[in-house]
Amino acid sequence: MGLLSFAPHFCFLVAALISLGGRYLARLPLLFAVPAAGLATFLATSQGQVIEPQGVPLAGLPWVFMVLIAAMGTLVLVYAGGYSAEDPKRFRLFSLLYAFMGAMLGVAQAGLDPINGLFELFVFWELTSLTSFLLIGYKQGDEAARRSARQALLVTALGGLCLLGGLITYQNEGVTDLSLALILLGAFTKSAQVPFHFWLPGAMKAPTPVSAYLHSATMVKAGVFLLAVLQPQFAVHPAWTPTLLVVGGVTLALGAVALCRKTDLKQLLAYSTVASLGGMVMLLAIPSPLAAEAVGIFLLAHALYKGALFMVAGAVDHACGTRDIHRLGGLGRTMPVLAVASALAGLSMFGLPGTAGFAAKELGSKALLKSQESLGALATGGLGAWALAGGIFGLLALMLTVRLFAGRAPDPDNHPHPVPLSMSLPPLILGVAGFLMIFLASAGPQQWVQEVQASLGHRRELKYGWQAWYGVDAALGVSVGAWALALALFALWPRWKPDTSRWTTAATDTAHKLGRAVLSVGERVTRVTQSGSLTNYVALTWATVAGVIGVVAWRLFAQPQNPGLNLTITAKSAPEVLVLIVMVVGAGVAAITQRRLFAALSIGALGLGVAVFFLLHGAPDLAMTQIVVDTLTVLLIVLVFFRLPRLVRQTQVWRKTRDVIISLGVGASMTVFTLAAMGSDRPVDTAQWVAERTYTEAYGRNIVNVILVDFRGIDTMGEIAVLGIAAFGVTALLRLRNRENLPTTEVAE
Amino acid sequence: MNNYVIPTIDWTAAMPVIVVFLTGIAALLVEMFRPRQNNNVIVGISLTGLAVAAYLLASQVGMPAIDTFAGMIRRDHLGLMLQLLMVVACGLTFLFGENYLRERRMAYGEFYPLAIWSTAGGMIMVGTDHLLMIFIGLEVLSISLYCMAGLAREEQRSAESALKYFLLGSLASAFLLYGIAFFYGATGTLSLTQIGMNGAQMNMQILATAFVLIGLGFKASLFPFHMWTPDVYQGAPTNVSAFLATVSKIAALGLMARMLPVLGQTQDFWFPVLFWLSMLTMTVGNVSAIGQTDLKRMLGFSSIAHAGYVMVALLAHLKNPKVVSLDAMVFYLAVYSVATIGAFAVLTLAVRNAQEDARASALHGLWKRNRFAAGAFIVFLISLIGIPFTGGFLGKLLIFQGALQADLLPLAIVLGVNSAISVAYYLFMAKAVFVDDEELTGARVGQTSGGLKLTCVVCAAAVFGSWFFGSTLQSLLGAPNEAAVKVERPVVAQTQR
Repeated sequence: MGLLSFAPHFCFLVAALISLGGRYLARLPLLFAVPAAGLATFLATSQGQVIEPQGVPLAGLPWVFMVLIAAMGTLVLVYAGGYSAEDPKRFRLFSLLYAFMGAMLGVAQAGLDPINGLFELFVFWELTSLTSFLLIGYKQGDEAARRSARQALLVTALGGLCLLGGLITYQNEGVTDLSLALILLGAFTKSAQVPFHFWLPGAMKAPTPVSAYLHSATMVKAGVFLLAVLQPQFAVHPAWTPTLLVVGGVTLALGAVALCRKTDLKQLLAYSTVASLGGMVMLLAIPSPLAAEAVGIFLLAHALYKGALFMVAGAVDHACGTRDIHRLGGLGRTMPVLAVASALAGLSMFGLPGTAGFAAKELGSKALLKSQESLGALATGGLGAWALAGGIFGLLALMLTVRLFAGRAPDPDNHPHPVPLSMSLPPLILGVAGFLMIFLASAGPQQWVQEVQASLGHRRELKYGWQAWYGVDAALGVSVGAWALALALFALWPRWKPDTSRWTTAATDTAHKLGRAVLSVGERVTRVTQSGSLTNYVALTWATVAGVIGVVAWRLFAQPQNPGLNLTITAKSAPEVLVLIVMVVGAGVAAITQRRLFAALSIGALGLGVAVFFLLHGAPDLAMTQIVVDTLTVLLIVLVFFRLPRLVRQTQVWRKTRDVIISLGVGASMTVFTLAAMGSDRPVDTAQWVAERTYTEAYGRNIVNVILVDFRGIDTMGEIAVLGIAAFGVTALLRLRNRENLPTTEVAE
Repeated sequence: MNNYVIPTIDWTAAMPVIVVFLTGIAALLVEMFRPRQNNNVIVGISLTGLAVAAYLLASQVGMPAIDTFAGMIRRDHLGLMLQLLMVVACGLTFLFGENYLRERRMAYGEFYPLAIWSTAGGMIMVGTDHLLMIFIGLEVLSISLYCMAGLAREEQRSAESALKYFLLGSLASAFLLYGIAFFYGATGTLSLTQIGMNGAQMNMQILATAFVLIGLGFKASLFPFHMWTPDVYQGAPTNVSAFLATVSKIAALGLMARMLPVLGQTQDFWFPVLFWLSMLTMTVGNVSAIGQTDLKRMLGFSSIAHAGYVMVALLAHLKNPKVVSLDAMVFYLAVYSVATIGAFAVLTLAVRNAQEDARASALHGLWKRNRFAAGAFIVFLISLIGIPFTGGFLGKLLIFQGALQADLLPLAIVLGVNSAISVAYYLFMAKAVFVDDEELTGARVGQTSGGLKLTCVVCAAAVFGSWFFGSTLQSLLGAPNEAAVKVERPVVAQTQR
C-alpha cells in the first residue's frame, strides 16, 4: 500500500493545484472539500495497512490523529466556503489550508515510528508553524494580524529549535535531562502551555475557519501528540510526571480563570483551548492505562465540541458583525440550525451525562483520583484544577448557548444576516458526532481510544470507554461540583466587568518588549561598530590587535623562562640613544602636527633613524636601501597630499585621547612582541648557510652581492618589477597634477 | 650545485588554476583589441574557461592527495571542493552581471578578467600548503577585488567603498604577512604541515597564529573585523557584492579550515578566542541586520552572521575531529553561496535610471510585476533562514548536530537563537516583495534578463537539490580518507529509502 505514505504529499499537490487553477473554480466552493473528504475516507478505511518506506502499520494514535485531521479538514473547508463567500481570492485560503493539512498529516504520520521518524516529524512540525504563520496573517492588509502572525511564528519557531536540539540530543545520548527539557520546551510552545500560551489568543486574528482548524482541533494538539508519542520512552525519566503535571495543571487553571472575564467570543474559546490543552498534558503525565483512556476520549471530545463552537462563533460574527458577547443574544430565532449545533456542542462542553464531554470529564477525574495513591498531593492539585476548569467550561457553555441564542437581543437594531447552510451544517455535524461517540461507541469510537492506549504503551484494554453514565462514585462528585460551580458563575457573570487587567496579556507584553529590546540593542550595536568612519574602523581594529597581542604577550611573559630585559646604557650606546630620541620626537611631531607636510617629513625622519641604526650595526647596504625607500615613500606621500583637501582640525578631546591610548597600547604590545622575537633563537642559521656556500657554489666574494643576484636572484627581479610599477604610479600622479593643475584649496572647499 | 634536483611537477594538479588565469588573460585581450560594443564575447570566453576549470577540478576528485611544484601546490579533497565552489560561484555571478552592468552604464570589460583573477587567487589560497603561496593568493584575490569594488567610478559611494576596502584590506594583509614572517622565524619553514609538526618556539608561534588569524578574520569578516563588510557591499556594484559575499568568503573560511587543524599545538590559545568571536560574529551580524533599511547592507550583515555559522561548523570539527568532519562546513558554504548569489541577483532588479537604490522600497510590489523573480527571491530567503526542504536547513542542521556532538552546546544555543533572530529581517525582505504595495512608493523594477532568469533557476535548483540529494552531496563533499567518521544523519535516509 504505497499510496498511503503519500497522504501529506497529496495535500501539498492539491494545495499547489488550487493556487494555480483555483480561481477558475471559485464559484464552486464545495468542490474544494472533495479531495479532503476522499482522503479522510481513505485514511479511515486503511487502518492496519503497512506504510511502505517506514514499514510500520498505520495504527495507534497517529492513525486516529490523521483521520481526525482529514475529517476536520473536510468540514472546515466546507465551512470556509461559506465564510469567505465575498473574498474573490478565497482559493488562496483553501490552498493554504490544504498545505497546512499536508504538514499536519506529515507530523502524525512521522509519529508512527517514534524512533526513526523523529527527524521527519520535526520537518513537518516546522512546516505547520510556517503554514500557520501564513494563515494567521491571511489578512495581509491588517497590521494587527501580521503582528500576531509574527508572534506565533516567533514562539513556535523558537520552540521548534528547542525541539530540534532535543531530538538530536535524544538521538545521540538517549533520554537525558537536556533532551527531555528541550523536547518539552518544543511541545509546550506548540501546545500553548503557560508561560508560552500568549500566542494562541493572539492568533485569533486569523479567519475563523483557521482558528477552528488549527487552534482548536489540530495544530495546537501537535505538542500533545508529540508528548504522547514519546511517552513510552521518556516517562521513565523521573522529571517527566511532575513537570507535565505541574505545567499542565497550571495551564489548565490559569487558562480557565483567564477566560472568565473575556468578552470576545473567539478569545473566550481561545483561553478555553489553552486550558484544555493543559488538561491533556496533565493527563499525559500519569503513566496508567486509565489515564491513556482519558487522554484518548478527551482528545476526541474536545476536537468535536471546540471545533463546533469555533464555527458557531465565526458564523455569529459573520451574521452580526460583532463577537462581543455583551452585544449579542436571542439569536435562536433567526438562526435555528446554528442554535441546535451550539446547544449540542455546549451540552458536551458542559459535561451533561450522555455527552462526549461527560465521558471525558468523568474519565479524567477517575484517572486523577486513582493516581492519588502514587502521586499524592500533585494529583490532588491536578484534580482541583480539573474541577475548577470543568466548572468554568460549564460557564462558557452556558454563555455560548443560553446567553447567545435564548432570551432577547440586547441590541434590537442589529439585524443579523442569514447564515448560509455551508456555515451552519459543519458545526451541526460536529455536535451530532459528539453524541454518536456515545451511542455508536462500539462501531468505532471504543476502538479509537484503544488505539491511543496502544500508542502510549499500554494494552488495548478499556476499563470504562465511552459510556453515557458511569455510576455514582467520587468522579461523579467532581462532575456535580463542576456543574454547580458553572451555574453559580453563570448567575454572577453578568455583574462582572470586562477584563481590563493586564496580567493575562503580561506574557504578550514581555514578548513585545523582548522584540523591541532586540531591535534597540541592534541599533546600538550598529551605531557603535558601524559608524561608517574609516578612522573608527581602524581604531577598533588596532585596539583589538593590541588587546589580543597584549593578552598573549602577557601570558608568555608570565612564564618562568622568559629572557628578561637588559637595558644597560653604556657610553658605546650613546649614539643609539640619540637617534632613538630623534625618532621618538619625529613620531610625536607626526602625530601632533596639523600640517601634512610636517607629518610626512617627520615620518621620513623616523625612517632615516632606522637607517642610522643599520649603519651603526654595520649594514651600510641595508641603510642605503632604507634611505632610498624612505625617500621614495615620503615623495609619494607628498605627491598624493597635493590632491587631498586640507586637514580638518580635530577638536574632540575624547577622540584624541582614545587615539593616544590605542596607539600606546599598540606600541607597547609591538614592543613586547619584538622582544619576544629577539629572545628566541633562530631555528635555521641562514647566515651561516649563505656564508658557507657563497664561494664554493656561487663563486663570489661579496656575500651580499651573491645573495642579491644569485641565492635570491628571482626576488631581486621581483623587486625591480615592483619598483618599476611604482615608478609608473609616480609618473601617473605627476602627470595628473600637471594636467588638471588644481590648487588643493579648491578641493577643500 | 650538482646535487640540485629539478622538482617533478604534476601539471594536472596545477592545471585548473592555470586555466583560470589564462581565461582572464584571454578575456582581457579581447577587451583590448575589440571595439567595445558589448561584452558578450568576453562573458562567453570567461564562462567557457571557468567551465573547463570546473571540469578539470571535478575530474580530479578521488585522486590521491599530493604536493607538487616543490610544495607550492597541494591537491586534496578539501581544496578541490572549495576550488570547485569558487569557480561555480564566480560563473554564477557572471550570468546575471552583464545585463546589470549595462543597465548601470558601466559595462566595462575589465570586470571579467578581474573577477576571474580574483577567483584564481582564492583557488591558490586553498590549494596550497605553503604560507607564501597563501599570501600571494590572498593578494591576487584582494587587489582585484579592490578594483571591482570601485567599478562604479562615477559614484561617490562606490569609490568610498573601494577605498575603505583597500585601506582596511591592506592592513589585514600586513597582519597576515607579519604573522607568516613570525612563523618562519619560529620554525624555519613556510610549509603549514611542517610548522604544525614543529614544536620550536611555541610562544612565537602563538603570536604568529594571532596575526595570521587577524588577517584572515578580515577577509572572512569575523567580528570585530567585519566593519568594512556592509559599507563595501552597499557601495560596490551588486554583482560585485555577490562575488565578495561568496568567492572571497569561501577562500578565507576555507583557508581557515585548512590552516587551523594543522596548528593543533597552539589550539589551547586560539580556540577560546575563536569560540567567542564566532558567537559575537553571529550575534552582531544578525542583530545589526534587523535595523537596516538598505537590502544590500542587510545581506552584508547576513553574510557576517553566516560566516559565524560556518565558524561553528569549523570549531566543532576542531574540537572533536574524530566525530565531526568538515563536510558540514563545506556543505554550508555551498548552500549559503547559491542562496546569496541568487538573492543579490534579484536585488539587481532594483536598479533604476542607472542609479543604485537597494532600499527595501525599491522592491515593493515585485510580486505583482515579476512573479518569477519574486518567487525565486523567496526561495533564497527561506534557504538563508533555514526552513526545511532547502539546503540551508540541512546545512544548519548539520552544523547544529556537529556542535552538539562536539560538546559545544553554547555555540549550538547561540546558533539557534540567532537563526530565530534572523527570521525577522529575512521576513522584512519578504514583506517588501509580497505585501507592500507599489502604489505607495512608486518603485520601478527593472526587466528580468535571460541571464538573471538562468541564475535564479540554477540557484533555486541548487537550493532544493541540496536538500533532496543532501546525503549524496554530503558523501561527495566528505573526503574518503580525510573525514574520520561520517556525521550521523537521521536525515533523508528514512524518507528516501
